[in-house]
Amino acid sequence: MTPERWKEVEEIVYSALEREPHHRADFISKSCGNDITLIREVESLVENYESSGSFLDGDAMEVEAKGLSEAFGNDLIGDSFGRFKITGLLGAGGMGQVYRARDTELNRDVALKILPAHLSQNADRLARFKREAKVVSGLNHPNILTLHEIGQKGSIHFIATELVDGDTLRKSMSSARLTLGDALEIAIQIGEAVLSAHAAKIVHRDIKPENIMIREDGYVKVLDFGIAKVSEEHGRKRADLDSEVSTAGFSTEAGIVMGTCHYMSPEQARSQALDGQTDIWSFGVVLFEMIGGRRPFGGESASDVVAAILTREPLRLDLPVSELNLRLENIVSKALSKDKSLRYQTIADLLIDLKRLKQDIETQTRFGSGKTRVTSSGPQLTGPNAAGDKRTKILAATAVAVCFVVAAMAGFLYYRSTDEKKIGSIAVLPFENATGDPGSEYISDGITESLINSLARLPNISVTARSTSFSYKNQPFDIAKIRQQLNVDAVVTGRFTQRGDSIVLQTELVDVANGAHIWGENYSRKTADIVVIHTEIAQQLARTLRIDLSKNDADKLAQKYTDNSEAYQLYLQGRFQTNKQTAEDIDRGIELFKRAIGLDANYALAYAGLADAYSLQGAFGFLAPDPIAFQARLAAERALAIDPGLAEAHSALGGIEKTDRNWTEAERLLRRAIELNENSVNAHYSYAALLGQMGRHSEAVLEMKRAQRLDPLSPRMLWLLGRQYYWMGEYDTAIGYFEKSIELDSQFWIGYSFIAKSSAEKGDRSRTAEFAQRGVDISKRHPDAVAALALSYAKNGNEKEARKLLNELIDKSKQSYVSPFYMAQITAWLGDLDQAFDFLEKLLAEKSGLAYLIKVDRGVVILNTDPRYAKMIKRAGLGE
Amino acid sequence: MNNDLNDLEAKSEFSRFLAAYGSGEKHALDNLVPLVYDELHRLAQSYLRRERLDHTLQPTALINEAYIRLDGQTRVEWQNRSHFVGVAAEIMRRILVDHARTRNAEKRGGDVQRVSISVAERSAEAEILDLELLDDALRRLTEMDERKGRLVELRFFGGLSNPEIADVIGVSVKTVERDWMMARAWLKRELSSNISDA
Repeated sequence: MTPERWKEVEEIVYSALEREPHHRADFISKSCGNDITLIREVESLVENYESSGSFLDGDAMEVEAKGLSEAFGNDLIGDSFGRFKITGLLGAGGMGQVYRARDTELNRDVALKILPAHLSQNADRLARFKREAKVVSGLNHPNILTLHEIGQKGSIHFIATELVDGDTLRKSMSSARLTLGDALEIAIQIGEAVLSAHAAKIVHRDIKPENIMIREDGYVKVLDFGIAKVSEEHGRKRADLDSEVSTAGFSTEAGIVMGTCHYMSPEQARSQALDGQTDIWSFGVVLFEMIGGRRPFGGESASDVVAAILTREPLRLDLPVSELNLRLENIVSKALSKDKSLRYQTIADLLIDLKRLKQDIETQTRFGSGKTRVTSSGPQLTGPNAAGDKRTKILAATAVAVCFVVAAMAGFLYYRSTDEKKIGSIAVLPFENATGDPGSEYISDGITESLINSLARLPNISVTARSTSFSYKNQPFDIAKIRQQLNVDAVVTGRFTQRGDSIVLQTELVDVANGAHIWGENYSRKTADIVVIHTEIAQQLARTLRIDLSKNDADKLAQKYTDNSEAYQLYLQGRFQTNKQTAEDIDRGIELFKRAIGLDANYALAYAGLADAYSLQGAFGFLAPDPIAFQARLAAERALAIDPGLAEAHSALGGIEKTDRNWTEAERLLRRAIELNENSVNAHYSYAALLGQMGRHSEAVLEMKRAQRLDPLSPRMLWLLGRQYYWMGEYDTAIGYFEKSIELDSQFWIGYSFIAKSSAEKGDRSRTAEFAQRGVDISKRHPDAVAALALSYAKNGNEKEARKLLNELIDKSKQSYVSPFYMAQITAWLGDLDQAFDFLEKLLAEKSGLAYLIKVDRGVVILNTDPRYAKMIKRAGLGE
Repeated sequence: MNNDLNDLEAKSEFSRFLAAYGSGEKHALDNLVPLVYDELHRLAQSYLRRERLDHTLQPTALINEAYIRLDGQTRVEWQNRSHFVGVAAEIMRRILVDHARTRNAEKRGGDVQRVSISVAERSAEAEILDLELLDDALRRLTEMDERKGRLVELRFFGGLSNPEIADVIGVSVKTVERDWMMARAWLKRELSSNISDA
């Protein structure tokens, strides 16, 4: 970029940043005119500014400090400390430098650790540390590191301990894969160590993977008992001293200690008095990380992590659903209870639960009931968390101290702000239709959906998606079940009745944690005012939840999409029908949207609904793609023209551009849709699908998981996530998600078909055949399911049956539309390459939305040894 | 371990190169860097012996100390303090980036391919800054906008605060803040796109 151009970019970025976030896009497009490159440059800089977090907040010295101190640390090699002669550097971590040394009297190797100055230079602290270290060592517990000596050379104090041949748990998690069995075994040994220390009235206070060693023979050793307490006092002192540090200095220091804060208990973060329960919490975090491969509380900076620990619920473990896994999740969740009275009271209780679980898992494995395989998607649990570690070790001596500074401050701030309970996530349960007239169902459902959409527009609150909410339809209100399934702070419930010309809506907001009533209100309105009722409720909720609305947010919330209550009711009916997702219902939905538009030609939402309905027709292969896509595009463009700020319109058009493989445009629109409405599941999953189709698989997984979190009980979302893994060739993970999808809905046929397809890739023949058949039966022979069954025959060498199914589809395609993709798949498996390519050509010619499958579907990718394949991919604009 | 004679030689060399650099001979930096590195090494070692590593090593303070030790007797004429901290930041940049480069090379271990970082890991991985990549991006920033390049060098490698930087560069603190905001966003973007391209 030339300096002149750069100046121009800079000016626009500055001016954009001076505006409120929601005005920026307009401002940028106005300032940049048609210069797409300029727009992208500006947008990406604004975006990076927004997400820069603590980037570059520290200084380079900190970043490189660990490397430097390792390089310099080697210099002590050869020095003697009493009878110990240093022979090598083991690591710079934990509480300072650790060396390998030779005990010249007893002729054995030991680990020699130099105590940090803040500990060794204070006589009281040193004395107490020595006392505690001796008590713990005196326990002679096999899972506690044995202390040989506490010594002194000049002003340097050191401890010599048994040398453990093995790795820290951190390293084991990041380099190898932990099986569930291993994870439980390690956890139990850690628990035994902690139990024994607690019995001697010693609290560890700093349990984390860096402080746990796993010896090559499998013995687990817990290190550094007693050090944390002394360090913490030091840290608190520093907190007092540093309470006046500037914000900049604060975040700099915070940056150093990422990783250490993750294991801190809420009471620790608040600098409250600690007892053994703090270890139970930290233990819970470690257990979570061993099983889930990530930490339960995350954040960009140390203060974010502390905030998460204090205010958020832990992430979910996301294990395949089974009775044993549920027990495991409960154990972890009980260890991670913020409320100490709900947490395990003693480590002994926790150990009992863990041991029982381990025993039951072993029994089950031994007697091989395939049904409840604990680890379902393969027992390998990965740990992608190597990252945090490097950071943790940086200038580790200061780490804990600084972390406590951050914690003390953040803890104070959050403690004050959480006097009143903060509600950050909410679900609206389907309003009960108490009119006695099933014909009014669309009103109660419609208001529910409109309210979900209105709430989704509020800032700083996450709202469970429609399809998950609606899985609670006609279900008795069961707060325990909601707590377990939805992971939200509160739910809105409602009851709808009609009296003459009036509608009455009784609503209530309920705290999920304890079932308490937070707020309630009865709305009685003329039927003609039905258009605004959900807006009133949303506004009232925003006030109740003390959500600060900017002017723009408030406007958006108050926005009426139509003044015509009849059009609104038709729109609600349209959504109601479309959501049923069968060909006939979608047809009906399309008609209803059209009638709504007939009454109000500027009804943007109805156009967006129409576009979505057409797109659904195409996606499910109910109709031939080309004409459908055209209709969908017209409707979406119209919606966008009427209301350029409508997330639904961006998301609908983005989906269409995706289908047409205009990927850049699709990406822009979908990202904009997400920006306009963080809670839009449609936008998230369309964007995820786009990323997957473009081969940006890991981004796709992330995005898909976001969608899935908003819509946890949707089988479709689970299937999409599984399909992503299937495309990536991770069949075990994929099958895990497919299994969950059919667990939620036993009639979800595509889940069965995809288990079959994944099992086929793994070579699991019997499973392939069984699930392929079930997919075909349940779907009443949907072409996708038929193709999966043909695959199962082809893989089992039964070419005759496979061909029969191919002919079935070909015959069917003469009656109604059948995507050529399915025929292409079968012919590819049968090895009829010419025919397969013919079908794919046909697929491309009709501009099918399924064309991307040529690139990602495992069944078709086998054609890639043929030169025609690469050419086709290129020609179709599907990338290299 | 250096003996006294080496020490003495180092000192006089240091003064010579520093003076040369001060009068505009750019290549003198190549000779200054290893000298300062050695001194830094010795300092760190004594810190280590005294177990003072829990005090954050402050880049300019270190250079200052190294400078005082190396240049104890023959004081080189510096135009002003700002010139000195500018050089200090430059030297620190060289030392730290070289160090990172060596370690990266060791990690990559000969012909083992550099593993690309998937985006899924990026959020966690982003916490660890690759100084080698940063240095590269910073060079490109400087070509485009010298003032911002220098600002980043002073702040990130020299450990200077915004008011100090304003003083050194000769602009207002407000300008430094604005420049910093922009430079940071640009560098972050460059580094993350580098990751996804890897």
